[in-house]
Amino acid sequence: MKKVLCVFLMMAILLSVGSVNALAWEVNTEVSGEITYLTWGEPSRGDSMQRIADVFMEYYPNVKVTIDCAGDNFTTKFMTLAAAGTPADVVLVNELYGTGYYCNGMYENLNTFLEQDPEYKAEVMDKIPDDVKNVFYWKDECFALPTMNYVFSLYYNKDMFDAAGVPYPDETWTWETVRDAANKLTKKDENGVTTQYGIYFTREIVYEFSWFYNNGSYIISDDRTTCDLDSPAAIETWQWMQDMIHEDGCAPVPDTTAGGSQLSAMSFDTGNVAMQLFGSWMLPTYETLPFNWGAAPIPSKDGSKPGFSSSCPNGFAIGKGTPYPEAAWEFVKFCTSEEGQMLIAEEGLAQPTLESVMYTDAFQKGSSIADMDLIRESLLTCKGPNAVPRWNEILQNYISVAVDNILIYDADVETEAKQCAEGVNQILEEIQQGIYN
Amino acid sequence: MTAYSGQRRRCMTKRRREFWAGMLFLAPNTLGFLLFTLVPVLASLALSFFDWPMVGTPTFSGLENFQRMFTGDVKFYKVLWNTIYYTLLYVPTVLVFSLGLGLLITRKLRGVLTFRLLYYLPVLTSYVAAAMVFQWIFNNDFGLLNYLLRCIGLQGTNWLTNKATVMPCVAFVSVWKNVGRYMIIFMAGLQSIPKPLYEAARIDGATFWKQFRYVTIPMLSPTTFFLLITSMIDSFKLFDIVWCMTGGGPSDATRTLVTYIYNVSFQNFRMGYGCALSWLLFVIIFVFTAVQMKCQSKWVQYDM
Repeated sequence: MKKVLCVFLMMAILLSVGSVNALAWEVNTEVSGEITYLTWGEPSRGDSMQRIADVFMEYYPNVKVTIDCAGDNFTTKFMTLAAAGTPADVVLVNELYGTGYYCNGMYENLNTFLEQDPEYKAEVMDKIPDDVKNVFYWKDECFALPTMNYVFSLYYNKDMFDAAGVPYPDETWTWETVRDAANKLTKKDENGVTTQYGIYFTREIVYEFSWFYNNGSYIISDDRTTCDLDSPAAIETWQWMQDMIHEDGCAPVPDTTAGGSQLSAMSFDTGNVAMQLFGSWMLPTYETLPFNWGAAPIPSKDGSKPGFSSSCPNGFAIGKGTPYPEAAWEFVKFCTSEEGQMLIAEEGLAQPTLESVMYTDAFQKGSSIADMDLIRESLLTCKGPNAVPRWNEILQNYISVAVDNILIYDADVETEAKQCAEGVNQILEEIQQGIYN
Repeated sequence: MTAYSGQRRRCMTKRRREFWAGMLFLAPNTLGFLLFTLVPVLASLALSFFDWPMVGTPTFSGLENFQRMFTGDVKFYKVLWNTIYYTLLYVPTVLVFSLGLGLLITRKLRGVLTFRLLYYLPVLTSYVAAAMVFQWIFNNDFGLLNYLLRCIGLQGTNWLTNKATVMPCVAFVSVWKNVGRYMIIFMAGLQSIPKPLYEAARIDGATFWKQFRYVTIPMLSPTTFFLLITSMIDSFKLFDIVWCMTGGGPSDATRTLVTYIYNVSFQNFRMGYGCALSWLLFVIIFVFTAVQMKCQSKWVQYDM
């Protein structure tokens, strides 16, 4: 019986892969142009993208793709190029900030391209979960194609768990189990100084979205018109985190980090904390951590529903006003297609958005330590943020202030949450009126 | 007549050639200044009267950006105060320490060259690396500073999340990073003070302190004045250390004017408002510099 089931499963996978292969790439000499793809990240990211571009250029010999890896200068370069009227032809898009760029006229509307390409729409776009691709839609207008995705897991230090005799986290874990384990994993020296913490929450809310999501708070509502950070669910989440920091002392006061980084002098990778939610972009880096670690599913709030991850999909957009929209579209399409995503997975750039690629060797090789089946499961059940324009302003003026006051300064959760939601709602109201900056 | 006019022509040709040669030498710098400094500066002045999200046509908004600065922006006064507070912390500290180090490294001591190199090393360190190291040093639980304090029985604090200590920490890192640069300039100033002045002072029975007070300080005043102006301008333009170490947090406690200009212009798509803030920064620096230029006659001594 098992054998029959296995054969069925293999057949199903082969069929699904085969169906995506319907979008076969052939040599096309009709499309031409010289396009630049602008990305952030370390230089190796640029090298990987160059190899993907080289494969694309074999199919499109009359298109020349140049990779521009701007690193930390990405925002400044992208904006300056756009201001100068020489936009990057293709650009990497962040899940939270993309909407703002689109609403301020930096990206092309891709609806027309999608309408003219029903085969691509059916074979690729329709197969990407709504919770992933919706991030790149604003008022039914698509401005980027979801090329890659990242999900969160609960990373845990196996050595610390073993030493404390605490069983490793698994899908049965709830918030209660997390708190209990975090307390058991916290160690103090003879002077009462904490030498090891059970868990770590950063002061960047984007990395803690999963806690809120699993309690039914989505920060911004699905229709993107209101902020629910003052809802009972959100207040309960804030309170739970605050109590672990200031009441139990099993989580440290969040450290300052720069540029929205998740890494700090005491994050999981430093070996000072036993657990932390981390994004799957760290998988390649974590291969070399000097301690044993594992990745577990996001704990459920109370066990009534399985836990799921918030996600950070990245997309490819076409710069508004590019002289080569067709060439840019073909490149974006290629990178989002199965072949492109396979190459992205092989290069270790990110996890794919297409399910068929998640069953390949390239995906499985994403980490030799983390359970890639778990990562796949997370990718299939994750939820992207309800992105809105002016996210930076919302974050900087209201949400980060509330996070700092609640998690660092132990302020009254309800008061802070209400003030924060009030401010965010005011901006969301303005956005509804078309004020995007 | 012919010989005279020929000689004059040759002379004119030579003068003209010299003129154009001079112009050619000046051209790269002048053109660079015009294209990459003057034009953008003037464009930013014009843009401060417009609303512009960086693409599309700017919309004229008159004095709205300047009005918003003083009446509608809740963060403006906070970041302005942060910048002034940082300047007050940074400028005197960096000048005192660099002068102290300058005095030390101009003495004829064994291994003084090594010390010069060591003190100058932080100048060559990248801001990102420095910020990461100091993030760890200042960490509450696992940081070196609190560990050392605990060793001598003192209770540390959460240096980078305590609103009272975070800005002094940023100023400290900036001083550590830049003190070597100022030290070298002070060293040059100290070496240019004529030795006979000290000899005369010693013959008159002046102690080390009196020599320092009545010879070194006045003779060094042009150098001090130059460093006062440049360090003040540097401090008003603070960006890198804050960006890398605290990101402006916690709760905007270290957000300075320049980091805010970046936030507003490049992250919030308000280039017009960003330009208005930049011009305010220019006016502040101009006024401070003008006041110091005016006051220099009272304490800066250019003649022996």
